[in-house]
Amino acid sequence: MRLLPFAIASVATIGLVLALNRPIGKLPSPGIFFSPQQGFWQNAEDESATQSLSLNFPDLKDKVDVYFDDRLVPHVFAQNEYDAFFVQGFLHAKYRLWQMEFQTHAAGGRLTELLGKGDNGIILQVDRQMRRLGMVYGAKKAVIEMEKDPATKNTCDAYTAGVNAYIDELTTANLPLEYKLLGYQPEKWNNLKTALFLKYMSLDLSGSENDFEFSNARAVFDAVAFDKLYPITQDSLDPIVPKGTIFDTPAVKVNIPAMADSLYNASTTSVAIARTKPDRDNGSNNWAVSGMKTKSGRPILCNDPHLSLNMPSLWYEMQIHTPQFNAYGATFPGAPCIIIGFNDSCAFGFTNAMRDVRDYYTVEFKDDSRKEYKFNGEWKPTNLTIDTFVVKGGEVIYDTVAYTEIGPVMYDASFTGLGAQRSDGKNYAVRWKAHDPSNELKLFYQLDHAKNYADYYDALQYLTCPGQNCLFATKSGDIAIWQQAIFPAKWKRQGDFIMPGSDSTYFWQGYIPRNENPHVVNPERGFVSSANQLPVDTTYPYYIGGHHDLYRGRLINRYLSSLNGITPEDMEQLQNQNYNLFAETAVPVLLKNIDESGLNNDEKNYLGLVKQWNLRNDPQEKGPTIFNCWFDSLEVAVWNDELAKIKGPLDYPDQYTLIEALLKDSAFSFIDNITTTEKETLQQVVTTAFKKAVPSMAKLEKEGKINWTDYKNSGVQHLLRLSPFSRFNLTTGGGTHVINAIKKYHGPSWRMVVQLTDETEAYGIYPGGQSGNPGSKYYDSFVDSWASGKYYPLWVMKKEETGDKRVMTKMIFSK
Amino acid sequence: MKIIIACVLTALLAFVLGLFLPWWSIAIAAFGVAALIPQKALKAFLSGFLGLFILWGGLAWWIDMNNQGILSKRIAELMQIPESHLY
Repeated sequence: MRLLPFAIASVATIGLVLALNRPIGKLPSPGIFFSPQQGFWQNAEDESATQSLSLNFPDLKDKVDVYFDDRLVPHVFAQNEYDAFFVQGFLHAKYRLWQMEFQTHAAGGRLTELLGKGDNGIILQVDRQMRRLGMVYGAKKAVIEMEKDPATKNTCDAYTAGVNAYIDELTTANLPLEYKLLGYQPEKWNNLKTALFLKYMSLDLSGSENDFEFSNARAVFDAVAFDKLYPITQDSLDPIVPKGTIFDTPAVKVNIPAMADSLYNASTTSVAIARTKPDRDNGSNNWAVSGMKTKSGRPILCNDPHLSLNMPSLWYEMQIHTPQFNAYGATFPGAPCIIIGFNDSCAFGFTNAMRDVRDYYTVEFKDDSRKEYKFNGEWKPTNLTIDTFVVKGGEVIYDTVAYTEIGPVMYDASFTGLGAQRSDGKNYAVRWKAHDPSNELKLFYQLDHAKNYADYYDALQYLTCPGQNCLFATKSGDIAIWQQAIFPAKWKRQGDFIMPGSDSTYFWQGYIPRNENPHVVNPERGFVSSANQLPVDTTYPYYIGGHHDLYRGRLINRYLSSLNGITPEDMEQLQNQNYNLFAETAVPVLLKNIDESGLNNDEKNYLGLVKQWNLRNDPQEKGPTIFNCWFDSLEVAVWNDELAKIKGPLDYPDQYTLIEALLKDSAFSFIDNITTTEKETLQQVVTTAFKKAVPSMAKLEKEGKINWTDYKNSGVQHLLRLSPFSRFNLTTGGGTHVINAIKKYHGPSWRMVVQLTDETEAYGIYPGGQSGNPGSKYYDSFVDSWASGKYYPLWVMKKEETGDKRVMTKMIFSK
Repeated sequence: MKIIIACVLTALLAFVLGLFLPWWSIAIAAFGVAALIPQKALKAFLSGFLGLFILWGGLAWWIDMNNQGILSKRIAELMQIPESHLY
């Protein structure tokens, strides 16, 4: 009698359980996700929890005490380095595991495993691009190099063990939220993942090449026109190494290939590769002022690296104290050591060198098998490598890539980039400095230990790629900047265009000796600085190449020259400076050339806003919005008619190129619209550009987006672009060309000011929070303060300060 | 009276099982209690359902209160995003 309902109820229940236990499309299994004992609720952290934790790991050699302050910054006190880096790995994993794995999966071309192939297979294409660029190939070589060095090996092994100690402790309930959402489990960490993470940074910071874009432009413009569009230097340049510096005779001589002028520089074929490149504004500011310019009489070092702004942040703040060193600063979840920071003797920071260390070569295969390619008149065997892609759901995809003497053949008939519809029938191999064996981690390791200039100079040798402007200052009063990497010695314009891979005379012939890299040490002017500008003027004996900023560097130098009795607060203000030097240069040109006689009232009103503008990109200013709309419109009017001739990917000329051209030549040849019979004048073009932009200005005003902050609409995006886990509509000033370089989703990712007094006085902030968990109050706790330009005092905790009221909670690690 | 005891027992048992087993152990709890305390079919179902509802609702409420609603607000927003716009 009761059997039937019982059976029905049981079957129904089992059915329900099975249904709720399965993911629904992209959504996680509802049963798991909504269970308060295992699902997302378990990631909702108790706001008031402050209990201490005691943890035991047999891997540890000694006891490690970790004190968290009220911002959740850990202060790690270890008895030896192995333990210190073990705990660093553990803490990175505890607070940031998901992003560490996600970023290294991205770097290793393994996103399909987590996200599937994506719409139109886009994620698979992104993965193939990473593998074909040689990310894993480079990372594997790096691991060998890292593990050859005992100190680096110890550091990496400890870090890996620490990450894995955390992963081993994970349960379904305390898995980071994103794993629950996407429905997968973390895998074990290893040293290759650390190397992949560092390659990911290399990728982000060594994208200053335009080989395809420039080749396409050169195919339709002659050398003179090309140089006008893409000049190799700037008139108003204020380089890192001040003009007038005498350079040594170069130790490396480079020979221009015999046929370069006719074959290489005058190529007329276009390429149809579609590619994604890192943000061209991936750059930074850094400067150090010597004691003679500061109030305290000691150097102050400042750095703000400009990168894509993501949640969880690229950075995690911490202090590591061992008997060997005591360093504080920003760390990369995914790698050991303090990356940008300071220790008891000195401080260090970086900006991007923007040099070109990645070149593409055409490769001619003997046949479709890709087994042989032409090299110096002979057929040489390739090394065919099969890459495997596992797609979420189980499908396995193979991709065969040919490796040559140059490097991997990235683009060929089977891969033409992201979204490119057809192949141009050619094959392109990539030569990238990041393919070579290197141990960049040792740079940071040694800087964390550095006591003086000699230690810093010694540490620099380990930085081979990406090129960085390495800033340094000591308590003993030294300030220095070296542009460091192993840079290929190039002939003029070498690698600006695609080169023939069959001819070894086009290969890199040698490398610039390290001591000839651009540098400034303890200069008379009392400061050193860099902001991604050209490091040197054209008297430097090697070709620089790449892509460089102009205005931030000039403005920083202008302010630093005039400042004296500098305090850390002055430096904070400088990092947040919204003055627009580009506008200072461009606005007079625009105003001089606009014909006001034909303007209607609306147009006159908007023009008035530019005339009254104080040239500051402050959040509530209307001037920068109007100016931007106008200048964009002018660029379209000047360039687009000519650039329309270019087939395939193109690089838009820089804004400084246009304004510097107009400043020296009001009859600049590109002003004329080549699609009309009339010969346009600068006045006509400037006026028409303004009138054309006015409707969009009116629209912005109607929508309430005319104020600069609303127009720019800055935010910090979650790595999966999930809006509830992101922060939008921040009130910020600044922007491109401005020292305070906040764009929409890009900007100062870590602001730091360090005064090297006996007791270090340091300030810093990043747009994020120490916890990567969207269910924690520490997830976005720094964002608003960052947006408003505030800083936190960075507390270098001493061993005896365990009772300080800033200590909120502690973790004790022992054997 | 029986139904209240069954409810409470279901909730308790489901909670304990949930500490060691996956989420679906709540079904085992409901099943176990239904077998242990004989009730009419509808009442048995109701007490299992209510017990689990009280457990999940109560736990979620408690967690949410201690979290001051930080995460529940974000998840609620997340659930409003059309699936095609995810990832």
